[in-house]
Amino acid sequence: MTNPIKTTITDEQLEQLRAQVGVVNSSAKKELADSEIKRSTVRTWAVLNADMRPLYMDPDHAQASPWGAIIAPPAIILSYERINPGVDFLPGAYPILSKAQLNFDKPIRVGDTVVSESEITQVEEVTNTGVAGRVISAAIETRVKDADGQPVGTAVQDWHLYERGSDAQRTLFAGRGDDAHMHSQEDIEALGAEYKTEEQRGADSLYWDDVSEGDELQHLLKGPTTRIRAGDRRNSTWYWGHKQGWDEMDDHPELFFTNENGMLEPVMATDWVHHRAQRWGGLPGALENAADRPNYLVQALANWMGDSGFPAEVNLDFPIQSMIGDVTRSYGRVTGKSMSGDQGLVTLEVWQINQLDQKITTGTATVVLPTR
Amino acid sequence: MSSNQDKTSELNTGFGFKSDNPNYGKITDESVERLASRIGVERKRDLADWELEEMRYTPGSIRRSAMSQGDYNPLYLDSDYAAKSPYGCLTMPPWSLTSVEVTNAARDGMPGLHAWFRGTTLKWKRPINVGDFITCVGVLTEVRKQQSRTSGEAVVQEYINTGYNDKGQEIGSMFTSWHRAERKTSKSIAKNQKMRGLAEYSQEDIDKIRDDFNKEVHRGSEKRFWEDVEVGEELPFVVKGPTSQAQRGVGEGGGGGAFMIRGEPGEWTHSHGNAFKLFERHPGLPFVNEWGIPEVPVVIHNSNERCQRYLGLPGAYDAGYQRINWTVHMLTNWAGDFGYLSQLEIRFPSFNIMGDTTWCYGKISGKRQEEGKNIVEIEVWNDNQLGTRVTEGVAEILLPSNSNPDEIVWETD
Repeated sequence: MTNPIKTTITDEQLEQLRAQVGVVNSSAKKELADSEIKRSTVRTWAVLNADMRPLYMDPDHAQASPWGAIIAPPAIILSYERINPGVDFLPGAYPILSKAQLNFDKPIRVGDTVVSESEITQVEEVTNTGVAGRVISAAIETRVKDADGQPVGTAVQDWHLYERGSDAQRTLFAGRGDDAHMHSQEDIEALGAEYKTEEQRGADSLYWDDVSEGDELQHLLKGPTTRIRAGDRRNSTWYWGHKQGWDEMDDHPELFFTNENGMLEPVMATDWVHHRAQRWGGLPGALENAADRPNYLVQALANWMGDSGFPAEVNLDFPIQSMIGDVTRSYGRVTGKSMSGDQGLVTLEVWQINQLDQKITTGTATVVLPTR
Repeated sequence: MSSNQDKTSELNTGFGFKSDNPNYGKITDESVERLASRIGVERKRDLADWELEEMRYTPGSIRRSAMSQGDYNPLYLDSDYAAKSPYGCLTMPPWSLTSVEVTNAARDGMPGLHAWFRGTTLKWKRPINVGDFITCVGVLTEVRKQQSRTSGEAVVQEYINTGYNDKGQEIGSMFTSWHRAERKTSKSIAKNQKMRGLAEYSQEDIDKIRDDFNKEVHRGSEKRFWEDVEVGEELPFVVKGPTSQAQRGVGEGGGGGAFMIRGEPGEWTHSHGNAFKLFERHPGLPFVNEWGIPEVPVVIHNSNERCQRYLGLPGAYDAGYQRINWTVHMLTNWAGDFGYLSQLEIRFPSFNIMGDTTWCYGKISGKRQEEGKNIVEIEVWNDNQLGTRVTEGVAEILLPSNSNPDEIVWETD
């Protein structure tokens, strides 16, 4: 094995990052022509997340729903973050999503134009004393709006940026054996059978009046993930080949490593598959992007609420990272009910568990349900 | 780091392809006949009207297509520039004609067999412009067994695909030829042949490639007349690569373009429960990956390690499509905004492995005037960093004539 890639985060870089707090990055004018939410946009998101409910796919079904049209899966607002932590913050650092807070103001309907702006709201050093390797926390707030500037939703994502090749980075894999993401034929068959038990309430409304504290959601299975899952959402953003690759190398030499061919390549390309993470990162493998987890959880809520319910807020912490190949099960339990005006609110404790029975996500959610 | 060394050594084991079908991944008379029964059957994409509307090319999809191949032609990127050009608006890079391919041998018949792209002939009639959508018809034209030097018994599959714009006008056609072989056969033969390894570059090599990037000549709005072209003239080359995992992700996806994910087999976008459903319908499709998870075989080609492990090849070879795109880039650089690439016949005599660098060359081999058209014939080829010819073919470009300098040389009605 080659020596693991090592990167450092300098005080100067940290100060430059702190100077970015409050700077707003908005949708570029040239992107506006492509910012309409199309039916195919919704379908693509639904297919990639394997959540092809009729509310997202079938216009007749959606027209009869309270929303009157196909809506996008609510967690799509996560894809509007306009700052790339692994590139724009501390080039070459290893980015990990540690928290996500999502607020949903209204559904996005097919035909809506959606724009966004992102802003770094907080930068903090969170290096763990006694573990070598700096870790920087940077919170990004992304405000998603419609064509009239009305809020659609807000996503606050807290990214932790690690020095590559550090002990701190390796703690992300603590407690995992080398075969933690191995699956036997029996495992796979059991997962296939489990997928068939998923139930979606759909048009059958769940009313606020019928919900009781302690009610539990049917859990939702996702995974085992593969590289094809990890790669698809990146396709529209990585143009680093040929001439642009050379231009990027001029602008951000610290982003590149010398690959197996002796060619410089963006260091993030070692993060997408196990082989490369092992060879170049000295790591057990490649991690998942935790930004998928809120989507899984909102899907579990949608299964339980049916078409008439809508999430208002989801706050998630990700204490344990997932590796590509892991299984994630999303759970929820009702913890309270209240009325806000004529809206019936339900609060839930939510969590996610991997195939090792580790609680990888903890958090809360609030949803709005119709009343009788 | 012993645990990681152990993990790396696992790359030499793994699960690979499994199927209960004894004929899975094998060439049999029955499977060849079954495939041949589809010869002549027209196939279309079953797209609804709303899907076609949403597939209209936008400035964004055109930009993504151009940038995914490293072609910064302002005809694709700059609306103001394009409006003043003979196109009158943004236009898609001509390589987008390959999107008329309704199906190909990688997903048509004989599951489990390996598929290699042998070559193609593209014929352009009209540009594809911003706001257009295209429909297409594909037909399997040939299925024949033959002996291959590299993979023993093989099957050749050929298709003709024709594309139309939203006015019903033909935009062009794409003939494709494919080579199918048993994976085990190709693996053992590849091993015995001691095929080449991955590309290796010194700093001097990298510096030279960088210098070559800066030699790109883009003619743009300066008109090139047919009379001024001389046989034997060499076209300015373009260089592409070295390719990498980061590059190939967008390069082979064409930057997204107007590709529409529908959740159907062949799109390679299946995950979670969708993947389980797909593999239940098509149990012969997946291979079982290093971690015991069924996956679609196309992902093997996304990394050198997986191609080494599962196919016995030196690295991840490309599908060939990028070499078409890069050659088109070289040709359109030379033709300028008033010239029109009308035909490209291209073959792939050697693999292009991830990490390779590709130089695209052209040389005028002839010129003629025919049916009012001023045609330039060009010999094209691509060489890699080892000097190996990885692509060869011929192209034709239409140019305006001195005698009619304002003529638009492509079909405009």
